[in-house]
Amino acid sequence: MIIRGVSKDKTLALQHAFCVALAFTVACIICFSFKLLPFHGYWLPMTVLLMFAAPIHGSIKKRSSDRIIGTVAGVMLSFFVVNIFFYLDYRWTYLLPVFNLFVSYIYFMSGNYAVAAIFITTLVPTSYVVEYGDSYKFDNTLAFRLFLTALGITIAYICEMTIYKKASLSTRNAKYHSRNYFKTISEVISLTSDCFISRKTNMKNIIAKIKLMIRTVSSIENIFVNIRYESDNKTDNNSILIQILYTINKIDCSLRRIMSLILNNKFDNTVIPKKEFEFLVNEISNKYKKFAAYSHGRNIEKIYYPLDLTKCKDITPTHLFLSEIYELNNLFDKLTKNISKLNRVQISN
Amino acid sequence: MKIITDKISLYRNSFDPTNEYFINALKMTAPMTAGVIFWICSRRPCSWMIFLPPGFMIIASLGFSEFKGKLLALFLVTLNVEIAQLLVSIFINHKIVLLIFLFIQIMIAYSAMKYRIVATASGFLIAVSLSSSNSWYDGVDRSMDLLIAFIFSALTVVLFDYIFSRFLIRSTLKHISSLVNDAFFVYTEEDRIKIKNSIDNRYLFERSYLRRADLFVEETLDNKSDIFLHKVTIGLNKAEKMFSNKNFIFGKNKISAFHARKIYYQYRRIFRSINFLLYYKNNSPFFKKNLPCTENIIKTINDELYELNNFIKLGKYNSSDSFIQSTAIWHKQLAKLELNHKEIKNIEHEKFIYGINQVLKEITKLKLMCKLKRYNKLFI
Repeated sequence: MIIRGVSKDKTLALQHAFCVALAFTVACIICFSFKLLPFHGYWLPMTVLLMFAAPIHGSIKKRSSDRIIGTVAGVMLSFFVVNIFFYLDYRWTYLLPVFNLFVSYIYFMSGNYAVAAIFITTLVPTSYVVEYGDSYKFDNTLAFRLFLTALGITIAYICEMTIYKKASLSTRNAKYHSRNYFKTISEVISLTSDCFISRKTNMKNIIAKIKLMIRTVSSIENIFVNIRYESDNKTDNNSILIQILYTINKIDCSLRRIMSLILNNKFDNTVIPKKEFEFLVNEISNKYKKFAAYSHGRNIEKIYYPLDLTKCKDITPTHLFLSEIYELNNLFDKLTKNISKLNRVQISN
Repeated sequence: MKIITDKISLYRNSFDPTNEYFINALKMTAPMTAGVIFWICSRRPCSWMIFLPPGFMIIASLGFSEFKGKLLALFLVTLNVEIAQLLVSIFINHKIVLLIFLFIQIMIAYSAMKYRIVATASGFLIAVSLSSSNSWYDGVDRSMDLLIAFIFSALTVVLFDYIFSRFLIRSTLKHISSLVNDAFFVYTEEDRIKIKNSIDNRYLFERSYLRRADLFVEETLDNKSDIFLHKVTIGLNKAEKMFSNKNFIFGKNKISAFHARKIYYQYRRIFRSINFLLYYKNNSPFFKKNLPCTENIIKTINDELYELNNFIKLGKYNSSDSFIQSTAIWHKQLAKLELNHKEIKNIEHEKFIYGINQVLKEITKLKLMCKLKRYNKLFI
């Protein structure tokens, strides 16, 4: 009943939570049944949780490979730190904070999951050695941790692929965010044109929309990268993604110019009647609003341009605004035309 | 040796220009080190709970911009681990009951998407706590250590806000001013080698970003200028977080952020106008023929942006009359061109001219702001 009552996103969050909890419990059951805890068995549930820790680092496949690379490097590093430096002189321990600072700095800069894995794999065993004074032997620690890492990755992989597969695929997120992005652009276009005409519109509204736009752009960029690493990604998808990203960049550029225009200028009635201008802007704004329908093959409506800008001699800011609006329209038409073409090819195949 | 240090500083300037990542790393290390020092000085048998969790608590708090959110993140991590620690101590001999409780706890922690980072940080610590000695007294001991760790982390958040906020505001402004300066140069200079040698962020111009998302976007763009512009946009958007979303605790920092925000928005306006200069390179022969002072005005704007950049870096502003003179000449020639109608201007020419006029206006506004005393105080 509870799950039925909540929205789709909340259901997916619960599904994800269930997946993580189940994977963690399975790891704990293995630990308890094989009595692994006295032999650093905590490594297994820890690996499982870390696998679900950072969905921003890509699909589970990518995270698995990063985790293995990071663990191998980290285990080697901690083996050398404990068996060579700590063994020679305990004062080497004082350098641990410096090491911590250095590795975490590299992680924050690069955002690389493998670096995070190196960091954790080195930090946790060395902390254990500091507290319990254990020796860090190759057989029961290094090799065993590697084995537990592989086991943990397998558990996480199976759980995600069986319970959370559809929700974890970035395609769904990409569709949602792209639709949101184009909807925001539609709102920005109509708000800026209102402001340009009357200068009464609240600028706070526009700023809020622009901030939303910035946020959706960064989400789209991150999600599109994840799609590339996912198992069911087709090469045709890449060309769609590239086109969308290319268009987003051009749209952003154009919108920045529009923002510059509305801040310092007013609409000029002599260039184009107000009603005609409003109609034109609404048409283009509506197109952006219905991005999903156009990209699924809905016929692109040609918009009537009331002015031929190439023949205008005295060009005013209103002309410039119109040219930017035309550019936005052309970009949209090109993008949706190509996407619907690609969609048709995929369906026929 | 100098070549190596120069290379490192270039690399660091490109990937961590505002030192934000370094401060985050320091913020993470500080409470951990404090925990170790407390352990050594207090000479009591402390556990790893005193030096390992603070770092992860700080990581969990980094995702929140408000101070309350940060404290809440720290508290939630502590609460989560405390509960798990007590559960492990109580039910270590009743494994099935323990498993059921842990399952429910992990499920609740991960079901709130907003606090997933909190769940991750605490889940990691819960997993490690399974392996520690699990007598009741040890469990209570570790719980106490965790509380001390929480205090260390909270103190670090407050102290870092007090010490480094102004530094971060200043370095972000410096970075923005150099980015906008470089963006103007990249759009108006045709010689790539000259661009490479002259701009502040040359490593950013030459190399790709480290992050995968940005690398992928860069593949879709046509040329180096567009790629660089994308990087400038990312830089400006990141700065938006610093000036619009972040809440500072102390009044001194709030005032600094308030003044800095105005300069930041002025730079954003200049950047928006720079977007009109995209059409310069294709139409430069037209401007050389009909508006010979174009090169001069571009050079003047470059110099002025450089001076403003210097003002933000050093707090000193060298005003010269050349800006006013060059602007006057530019406007004179522009008026002549419009009167004569010798050559038909197209929309691209108009956009470029509009862009230059806007940049001149916005720079004049910024110059006036720089002359105000309250902004001087911000940088000295």
